[in-house]
Amino acid sequence: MAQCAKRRPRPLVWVVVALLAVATALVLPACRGQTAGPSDIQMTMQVAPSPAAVGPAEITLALRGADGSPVLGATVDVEGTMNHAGMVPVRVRTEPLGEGRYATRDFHFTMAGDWIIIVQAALADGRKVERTFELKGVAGEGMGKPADPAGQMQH
Amino acid sequence: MMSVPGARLGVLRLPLLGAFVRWRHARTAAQLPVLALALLVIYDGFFGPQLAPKNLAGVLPWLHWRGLVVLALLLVGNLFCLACPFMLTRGLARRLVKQQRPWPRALRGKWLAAGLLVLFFWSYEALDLWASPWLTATLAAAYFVGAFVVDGLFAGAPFCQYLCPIGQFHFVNALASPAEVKTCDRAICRSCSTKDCLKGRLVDGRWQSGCQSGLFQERKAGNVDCTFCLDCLHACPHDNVTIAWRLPTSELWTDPLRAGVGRLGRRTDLAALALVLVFASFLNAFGMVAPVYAFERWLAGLLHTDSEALVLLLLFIVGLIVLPALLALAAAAASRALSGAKEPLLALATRYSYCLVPMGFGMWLAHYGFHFLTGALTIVPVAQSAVADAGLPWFGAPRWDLGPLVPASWLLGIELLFLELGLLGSLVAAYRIAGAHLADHQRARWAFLPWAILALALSLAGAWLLLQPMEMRGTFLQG
Repeated sequence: MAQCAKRRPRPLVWVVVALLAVATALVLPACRGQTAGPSDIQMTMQVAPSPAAVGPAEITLALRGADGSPVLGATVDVEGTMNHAGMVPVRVRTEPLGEGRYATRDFHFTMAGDWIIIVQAALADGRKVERTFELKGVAGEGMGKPADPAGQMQH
Repeated sequence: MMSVPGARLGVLRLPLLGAFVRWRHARTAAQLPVLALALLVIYDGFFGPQLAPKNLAGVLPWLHWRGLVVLALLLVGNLFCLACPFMLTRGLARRLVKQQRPWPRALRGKWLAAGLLVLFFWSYEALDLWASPWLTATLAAAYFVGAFVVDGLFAGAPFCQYLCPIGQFHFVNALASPAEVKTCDRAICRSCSTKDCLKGRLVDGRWQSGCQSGLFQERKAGNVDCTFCLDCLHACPHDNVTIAWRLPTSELWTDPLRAGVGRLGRRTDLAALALVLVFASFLNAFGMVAPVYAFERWLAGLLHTDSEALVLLLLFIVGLIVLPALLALAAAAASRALSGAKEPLLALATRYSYCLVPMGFGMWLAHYGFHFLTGALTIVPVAQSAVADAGLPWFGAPRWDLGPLVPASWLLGIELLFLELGLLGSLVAAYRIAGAHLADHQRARWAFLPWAILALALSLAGAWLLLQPMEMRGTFLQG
């Protein structure tokens, strides 16, 4: 087209664009991977009621060391979220039940569907552990569709 | 002197905003912040946590951008295309490739764009785009590459006009918007011999492009194919182009010969695109409510398949192509029978299909508005987390308790208000289209009736969808 030949360079714009791109790469230098923490800690999650449904639920976590001994004295936080942006996650702190078991008291499934349960544990020795569980098919209120059939998951 | 209504009270008259719009670098200034956000989305999408609610690629495009663009369309017009960062690549491409060829004649029109839109909506569900920061980042990067390649090889604005699904979403829904780029005084255009708004010109020694979409201002009407790029406004030597206010949906009421577009009533491709977008507004919302999973499982059983992609493909072909075509033709047939019109069925269906655009826009507003209003503030903890993960704990611990902009009890009322505003817009548009088509008021009323019933049925379907409990799953065929 005729105007293509007439167009004159506008270098300033492209310098700004390039600088923005470089700045973005520099400002965020690190990959944002989630750390899982020590691998010698085994974590098992149970959800009650099972099958899970929208409403109050109790999530119980059992923490074991590599030798099977219960992990005592940990501070364990549970975060429930879903795969769609925009919902406020459900975040609660568990209470210890003894023998390495920790349970939530006021956890609520706020929507039907597939949930992601993120467990963060601060161990008594200062180490931190994070595990993620998928809980598929949390049923809507009054709906009997089973969630995770076993109701128990291991990591 | 023939001044255009609304033009004198246009955006250019507003303090500050008017001065900004007149600034020749206004578009670039609007594009750069959006470019920065797009780069953040791509970066976090590739390298951040692959959990959508905790990633900028999960939050910014699917929650904020979608919510803000429909609100912008409701309050002003096609502001996203104005600030489109992908178009920054056009200038770069054309500096590298000096000679562009014309876009193939066979691909002009909206059929390809309508097909790409169907493909996009299908892939959104089949690939769970909203749940995958990595795929979202890939899509954004592909957009930059696509715009660069297409506009580098071909002259004009083929990426925007014939390909971009986002652009088509805006062109169609902006039919219901309250603002458009138009001339202040058409008499000035008629006496203009240079047509710079189309061809471009040198301004202060620098080249100012004219309209790349070929929308000559003297006969430009409405928002179809207008990206609000402001090139015409800056190229006009008579300062005769503005952003003017108008009654929302009013450009649907008449069907003038539009520069670069023709008459809407003769553009079957454009009507098909509009219908795809209207019905996609309902199908997209249907994908998020509990009954859809039972329906999809039933369909999978019927087809004896465990392929989710196949089931969704069938659902989208029926929902976005077959059903809209059948309903539009049925409404046209009823309209013709009741009014005694003599036109061919397809011509009638084409003429009236646009009246459903406000209904579809109302549904988009209700759906995307809901997500935005319930989750807008989640950007705070996600941004806090992104910055902290980069080793820069400037903003403290992420506030994961933040989310909604309004109380939950307001949401249904707001959604239904948007939906019913859409219905009202469709009813008015259908009535005015019938009135413009048929001089006899009685016949016009009969012609209007089937389209009013169709709009009402869509509105009821939308209300039913909004009343369903939401359910979010990655797949419906899980064991």
